[in-house]
Amino acid sequence: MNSPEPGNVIPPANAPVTPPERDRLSASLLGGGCEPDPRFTLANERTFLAWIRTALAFLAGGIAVEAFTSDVFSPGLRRAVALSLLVLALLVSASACVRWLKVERAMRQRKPLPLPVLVPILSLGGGLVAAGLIVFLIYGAS
Amino acid sequence: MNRRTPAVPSTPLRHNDPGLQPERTLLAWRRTLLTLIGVCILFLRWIPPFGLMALLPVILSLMAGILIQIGLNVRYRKSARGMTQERIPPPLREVAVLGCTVMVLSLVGIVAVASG
Repeated sequence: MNSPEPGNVIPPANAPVTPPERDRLSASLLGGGCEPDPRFTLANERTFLAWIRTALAFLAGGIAVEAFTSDVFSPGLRRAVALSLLVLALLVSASACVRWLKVERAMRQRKPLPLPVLVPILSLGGGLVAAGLIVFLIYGAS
Repeated sequence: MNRRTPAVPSTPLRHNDPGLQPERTLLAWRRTLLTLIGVCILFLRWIPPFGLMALLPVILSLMAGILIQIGLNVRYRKSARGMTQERIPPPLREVAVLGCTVMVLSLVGIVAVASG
């Protein structure tokens, strides 16, 4: 039998848009508009998760620097590097949540997606921490 | 009622997406939870300098991880069903729980390191 199974019927592309059914929390946070393609919702979810994993990597780096590098760095430098990484983790995780919400809203209102402000923050922060470490390796260790 | 596909509670894990997006999203959640557990274990290294207060972020991470893990099955069923119904509810609560957990963990780390 080649007939499609009941659960696997693919609706046509021009299917009528049914009115959104949202709970109160979703309605208040996401505003108006119509529901986007579910693939876009899932893609946005995965992008959020990727950013959160980036934040968790920064967090792990900050914890590890504080816990394991007492023989390598002076106390002041160790604290500065650990704090930089932890602040980056905080910024990236907060921005990931805000961006997820902004993208969800934009998709529902059929607007262009917002630019990721996380990218310059991440580049600048990561670059500064790396530059600090390079300076330490060249001048601090001697 | 203009339902294009019947509700299929007996087979909720089936969907029509050849890109396997529900599975990929579920795996992304699992990877993130594994990373969260790794970070939570790293916090244990803070017990010697900071005392038992270092257990606070560990307990917080574990609770959030368990909470999200429990919700993941429901989320996957919603995603799979949503692929056939062309609509998926946004994961507001899951995003809020995970985002707030990572932010609180970062804040705890910042306060602990800054206060020495």
